[in-house]
Amino acid sequence: MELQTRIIEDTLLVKIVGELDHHSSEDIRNQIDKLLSSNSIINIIFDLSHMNFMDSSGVGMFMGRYKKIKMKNGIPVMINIQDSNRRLLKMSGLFNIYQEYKDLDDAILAIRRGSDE
Amino acid sequence: MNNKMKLEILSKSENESFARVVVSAFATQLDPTIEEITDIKTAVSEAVTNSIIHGYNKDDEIIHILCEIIDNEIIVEVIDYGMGIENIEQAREPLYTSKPHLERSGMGFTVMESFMDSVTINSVPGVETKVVMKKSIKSIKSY
Ligand SMILES: Nc1ncnc2c1ncn2[C@@H]1O[C@H](COP(=O)(O)OP(=O)(O)O)[C@@H](O)[C@H]1O
Ligand SMILES: [Mg+2]
Repeated sequence: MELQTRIIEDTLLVKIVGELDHHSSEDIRNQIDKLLSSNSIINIIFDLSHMNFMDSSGVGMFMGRYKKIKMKNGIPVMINIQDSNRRLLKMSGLFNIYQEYKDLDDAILAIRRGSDE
Repeated sequence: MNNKMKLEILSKSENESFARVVVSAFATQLDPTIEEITDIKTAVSEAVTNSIIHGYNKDDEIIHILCEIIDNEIIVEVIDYGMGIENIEQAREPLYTSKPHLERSGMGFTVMESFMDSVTINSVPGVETKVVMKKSIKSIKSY
């Protein structure tokens, strides 16, 4: 598993490359939370285009990051979701708390619009 | 087709991916679809992770994984000899976790149940906990 992160305005973009399970989620959580401790980051976008496996430990990781973003009054987003991951994301209710957008451009536009409201 | 395989691993989190890859490689004999392989991989990952986190919470204990293929069905047993489950009915409930502080989602058994055809749990706390999962592979070639 490899994590690629980038900061765009007040949004943290996180690309998960590889497998999200109990073993890798600990690493992911620590890396993301270090970046989220900065007050200038409010929103999070998870790019799932290269996440080729996930189990319920991943669900816990996504729920935990959702809580952190909500405390900042930010917007939690997922983009580039693969069909193979869709069932578990849906079953675990993550689509009720994360907004889904097709790609990065759509997500950034939606976040800008949301922040203006 | 009939076949068997037995795997013994230590309760290290690195072995979660190893275990699911081995079981899914064994299952390929049934010519499953990519979706069926994903289902098996995910279910195995859930059961092995549970043995590591809940059964032992230690990284040097033994986990056994037994696989059997009978006709077009694969049967996977994940066994640990750790703490065990006192209340199986509660453990199976969606969202129930005994370790919420570890960001567990409590969805493990729900995932196993929906990705496999059947899931049976047997536990004698402190002695043995066994999760048996079965799945028939629809796409079997006619030999
Ligand atoms: N092998 C096991 N040994 C002991 N307890 C277990 C085992 N597997 C599951 N459990 C118990 O069942 C509960 C529910 O498991 P699960 O649905 O996978 O959720 P989670 O792993 O997120 O807690 C666990 O929190 C734990 O208390
Ligand atoms: Mg679990």
